[in-house]
Amino acid sequence: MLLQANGIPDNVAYLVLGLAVLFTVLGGWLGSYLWRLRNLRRDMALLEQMAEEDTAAEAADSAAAHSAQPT
Amino acid sequence: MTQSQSPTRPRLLTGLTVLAVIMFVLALGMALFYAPTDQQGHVQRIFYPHLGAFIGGALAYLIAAIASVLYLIKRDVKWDTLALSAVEIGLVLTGFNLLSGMIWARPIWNTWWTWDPRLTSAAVMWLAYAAYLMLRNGLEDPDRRGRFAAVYGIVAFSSVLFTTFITRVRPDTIHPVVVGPSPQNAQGGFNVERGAMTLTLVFNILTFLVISVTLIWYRVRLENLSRRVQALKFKVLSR
Repeated sequence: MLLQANGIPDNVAYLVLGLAVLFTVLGGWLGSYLWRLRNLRRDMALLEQMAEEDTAAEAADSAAAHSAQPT
Repeated sequence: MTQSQSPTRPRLLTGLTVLAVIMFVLALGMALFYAPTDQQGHVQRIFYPHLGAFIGGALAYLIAAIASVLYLIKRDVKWDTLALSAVEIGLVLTGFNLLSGMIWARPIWNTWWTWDPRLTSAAVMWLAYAAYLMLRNGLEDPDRRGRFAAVYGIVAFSSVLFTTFITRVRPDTIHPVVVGPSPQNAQGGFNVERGAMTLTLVFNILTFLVISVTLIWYRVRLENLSRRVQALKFKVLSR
């Protein structure tokens, strides 16, 4: 192993690798979190829209049935 | 406000996030620029986040074990959510602990990995918690999944205790310990009695504890949103 002038081994490359792993692991989880959050929000918006359309369709059906009844 | 928007982030979580980011920057700065260079060379600086991440991960696993006990007692889904979230964050932090240990070992032990008692038990611990997530995914019924996961989460915590104390009971490990005498075969140990090193170590441990709690909280919120989506999906599809 290479030694610096003061006798301490020159292994700074491993330190850089360690820091890269730290940022990759934490950044990877953060990216995964944001990706899952985005997908869930999109699903939620779609489901809410479907629920509203169902409610509107049910109301229209109910109104049509009510108006079709003989007075 | 529509339901698709997640509930407002609590102020405490916002404050915790800011604190975690500031502490993370300071902790790295202390490890890189404040702590003195050891005779091992600059790679020794990875020790500070290495140990901090293990303790942060161990806290997450402890939270998971406690939440699992509470789930079995109260059968409230919020404890199951907390246990799941804590295990995921524990895996992230102990995953970094394992990888950074390998990187540190290469120049000091001249190998990336050795089947040493401490390293093996740490790997088994990580795999045990990875299996926790697989177990959950393999069970459809939420109540059954919660019960099985809770029991597993409690039993799996024994691997954390085993990993923590193995260096105290196995003198043949080459993994050094920080507090107290190292095992007789330990290689790569160093003296942390010096002030700057101790301060850097303590600050890094505190930082990873804060990071652990903050990330668990975010993961809990994500899981709560996921459960709301599932409930709405069931409601829409059952019409």
